[in-house]
Amino acid sequence: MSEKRHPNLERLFAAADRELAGEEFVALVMQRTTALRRRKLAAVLVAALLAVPVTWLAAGPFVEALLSVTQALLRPLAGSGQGITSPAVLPMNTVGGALALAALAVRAAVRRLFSRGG
Amino acid sequence: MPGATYATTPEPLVVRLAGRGDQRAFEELVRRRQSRVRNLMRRLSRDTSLADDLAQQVFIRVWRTIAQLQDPLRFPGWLKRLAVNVWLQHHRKLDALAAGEAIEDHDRPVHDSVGTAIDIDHALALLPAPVRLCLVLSYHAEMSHAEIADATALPLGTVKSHIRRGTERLETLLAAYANGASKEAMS
Repeated sequence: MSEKRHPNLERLFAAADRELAGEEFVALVMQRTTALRRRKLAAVLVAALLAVPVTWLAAGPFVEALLSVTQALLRPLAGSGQGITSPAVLPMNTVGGALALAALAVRAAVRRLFSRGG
Repeated sequence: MPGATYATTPEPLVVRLAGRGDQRAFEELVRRRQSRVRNLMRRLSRDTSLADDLAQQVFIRVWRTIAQLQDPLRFPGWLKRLAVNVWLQHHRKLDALAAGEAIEDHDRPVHDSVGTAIDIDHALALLPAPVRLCLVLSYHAEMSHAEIADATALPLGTVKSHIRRGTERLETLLAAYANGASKEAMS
């Protein structure tokens, strides 16, 4: 079917499409958007007020957890030894270092696998 | 007069400002587009108060999402799609589209049901919702069949079929009215 429109119907639709007075309608829309803005502002304020005690209560346990993770990542994998190479391998001789190397290896493998096909 | 600052501002700029949260720019957009959106909703709905309520919902959605519109030049098409979505959501609630009404269900002379007050809105109201939607988007919103299919998520073939059958039916309905009116005028 072609997209040619029926001229009689086109005329009828055009005639029905009259300009509507809009001030009352605009005022109603603006009232609703203002109410929405106020509600959003109130939600932000409530969230901010709740965030203060939550942060205060959670700060201690959060810092403790962060310290524990940091200590675990810095734990040496093998004895540090006394040799001259010891300081050189020290950054890799930790749980964190091993995890970082493993992540790099996985990333390189993924890139190689997915770049082969184009 | 509120919004007077932007009365002569080009629409893409007003759209951009509204997207940045400028309430007066948004008000100007509503003022410029309200008639078009309300008329579209009046063609699609059976009563004017429902149409105005749906049009309000369209503009509330515009206010919420206009910041996501990247290209202000695409605002008119974006607004049409938003209006179609609001109308479709309203009708999904009523399960009108899923009901799969047949045109034949409404096969009755127009002048019997609505008397001499018949106009295009009344004739459209006698069509099934999906047919009415496709017809209004084609004739009122001047959208192509592909655009209608895209906006309504209906298959292109279905859109074409709805428009063809709807056009035929609307012609019959309006001819029946014209005959009825002329007989009344002669008697």
